[in-house]
Amino acid sequence: MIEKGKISAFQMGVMMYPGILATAILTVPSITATYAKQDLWIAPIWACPIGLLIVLVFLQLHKHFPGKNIIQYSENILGRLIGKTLGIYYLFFFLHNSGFVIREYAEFIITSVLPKTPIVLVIVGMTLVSAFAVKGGVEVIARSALVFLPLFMFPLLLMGLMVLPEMEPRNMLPVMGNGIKPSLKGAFFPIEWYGDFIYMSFLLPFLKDEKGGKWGMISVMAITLTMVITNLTTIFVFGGSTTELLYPVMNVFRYISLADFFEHVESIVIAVWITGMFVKFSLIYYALVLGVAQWLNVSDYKSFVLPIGFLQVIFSIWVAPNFQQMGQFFTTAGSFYFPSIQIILPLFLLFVALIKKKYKDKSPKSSIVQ
Amino acid sequence: MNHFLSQSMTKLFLVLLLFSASFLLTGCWDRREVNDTALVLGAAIDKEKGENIKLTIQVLIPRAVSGGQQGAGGGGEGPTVLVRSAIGENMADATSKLQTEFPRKIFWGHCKVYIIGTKLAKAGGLHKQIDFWLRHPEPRERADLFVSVGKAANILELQPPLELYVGQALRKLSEMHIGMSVTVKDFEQMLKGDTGTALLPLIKTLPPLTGNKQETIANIIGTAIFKKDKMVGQIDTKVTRGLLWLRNEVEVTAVTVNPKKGETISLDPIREKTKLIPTIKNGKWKILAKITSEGTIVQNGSHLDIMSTDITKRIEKELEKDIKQRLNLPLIQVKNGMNVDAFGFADAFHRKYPKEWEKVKDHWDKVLPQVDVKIAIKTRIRRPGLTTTPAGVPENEVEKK
Repeated sequence: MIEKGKISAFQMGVMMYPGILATAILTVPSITATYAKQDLWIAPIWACPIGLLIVLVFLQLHKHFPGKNIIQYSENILGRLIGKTLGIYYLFFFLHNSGFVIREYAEFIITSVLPKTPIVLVIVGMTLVSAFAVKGGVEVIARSALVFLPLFMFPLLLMGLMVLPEMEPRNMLPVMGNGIKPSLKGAFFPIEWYGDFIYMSFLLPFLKDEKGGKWGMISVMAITLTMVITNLTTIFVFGGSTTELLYPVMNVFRYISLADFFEHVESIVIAVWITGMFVKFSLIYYALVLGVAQWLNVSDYKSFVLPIGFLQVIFSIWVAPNFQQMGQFFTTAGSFYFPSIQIILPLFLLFVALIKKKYKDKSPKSSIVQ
Repeated sequence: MNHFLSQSMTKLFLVLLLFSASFLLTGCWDRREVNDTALVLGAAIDKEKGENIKLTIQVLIPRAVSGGQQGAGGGGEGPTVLVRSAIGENMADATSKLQTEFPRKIFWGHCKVYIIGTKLAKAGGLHKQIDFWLRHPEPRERADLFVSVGKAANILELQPPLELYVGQALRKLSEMHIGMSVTVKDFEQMLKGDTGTALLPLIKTLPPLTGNKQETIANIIGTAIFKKDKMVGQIDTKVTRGLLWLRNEVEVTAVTVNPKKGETISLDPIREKTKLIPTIKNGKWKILAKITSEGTIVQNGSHLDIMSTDITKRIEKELEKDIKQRLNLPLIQVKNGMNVDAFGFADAFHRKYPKEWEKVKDHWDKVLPQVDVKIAIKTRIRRPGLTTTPAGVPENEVEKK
């Protein structure tokens, strides 16, 4: 095995939490609100079962192929040629996805705090830092996630408390005034982000214990809960104008003013946010680098870290010429692109694996390890 | 030996790397020194010829503030703020023109007050200006908005006797909730709301007491009423109180009733709550405004013994009558007079009857006059204050019933 590190299931859950949320609380509330309006907070609840489904699918796949990740077992399931093709398809997807993730992060930093700084600098800065973590292996990422998690969660949970005087709970009424449809439509976007649970496939083989399922589920629940809380807060504070804001959660932080001196806190929040982004990006980065090494059957992945980091920087520039087009991608093609690769394809893999197992069980030579 | 060399080389490399990281931490492009920024404390926009606006900004003079703190004493120092204006097509354009007059970079992050001239407010199209405050990363969405009687720029020139600059004085006035208190975010939300009705506090320069004409502040004299970001009318403070009461935003008011001619009893309400309950029955749209108010008696200028439960009940009834009258004022002036829904009736209907609302939302103006408003008030006098019988009245003259 290329990676010798071991993590606990709890650490995996901790990694997945900012792994989804770091970007899911940037533009997602705004995009969701354009469809769901005041039912914005319901959308993550609809999306939650899909998140649980993804976790279940990967757990099942893990059960059939312990010690292997999606790049590896797609070969076992679909055969060498198709498996390898699917593998490279996934690797390109991870590259594309990491481009989106880091671009989203950089756009957020540029628009909110560093308007004059070249975007490449922000991207390269994050990529370099993550490169160190990725070189360090899965344990390093897991431990940094553990350190950053309280930092990352703290402002999100406290946010509601600090804007309490500004809240107008009436804003959420009427609940499902236009029926169930708007909130269901809005749920498409959280689903796009829940798809990132695909990276769990790369962590499951390194688990010390068998509690992967439990902590995966807990992670999905915690993410849903956090999304519901942040969405409710934005609805309570901004009401109908949530759709107009690009980063509603940041605007809520900007609106905090306690006793006339505790204000302008968003710079601290952004600093904390970066730690979450670091975990998310490192996770994708790691999955990509490890995947490439495994796909090529190379014994060490470390030599790939910097070249792939370079590719990610380029991809982050390539994914979209401007913010508008990136937003459009998420609302149009993205709502099919992400789920089809992150949800439907793994489901298909599981389906084929189960059928194959059924046939193989009859013959004594079983290649699938149970 | 070789191993040792490579180890020390790695260490050297690491140290160099750490040092090089410090270059990344300076934020070269967006570096901004405090002594290179001109802090805007307040801004005023007025209408100019054509579509242009005149932007006036009030900038802090740091030297004056730090000098004052060292305790020179007296009021003979120079002004703490500098006021400059420029004409431009919009906020951003005027700002860039203003920038040519300042050796320091204009910084909006601390501008907490925006004043809009009546002329601009009445011309409409305010959304063009508020967009800048929400889109630009520097201005805060928490800044307070005001509409001034006359030119807004004049208000920034005032030197308030109690505060450092006008913006601070206005902000503190607004925080007391004697009139509407509206931030940029609130205004935007109101414009985006179901009816597009927005309310802003209306301010006017107080007549100065001393010879110095500038040494005064502007105070809130009422509310400017906007329909689709165009000012359509204004109401005075008394009507505003009633309006605030209906909007459940009222905070400090003393309610005074006259049990007999020439006699007064005042109540200081501690808790007020207003609930708008909409009902649609047989196609008739009704609003029930349920108001509860409780408080303490602060002055008893009558002969009544307010310790008596009967009298308390009687005063409660009187108070209810008085409050009802106050609440009727805005209903008559704003709802019937201007046909503007400044009370949130539309939102109340939307929340409870989303389907019915969907049908009328395009012609709410026609529905509003037919909406029947009923007011139900419950006043509770909780305690009499520190004294029992009216002060300075002989025992035998006190009316016990």
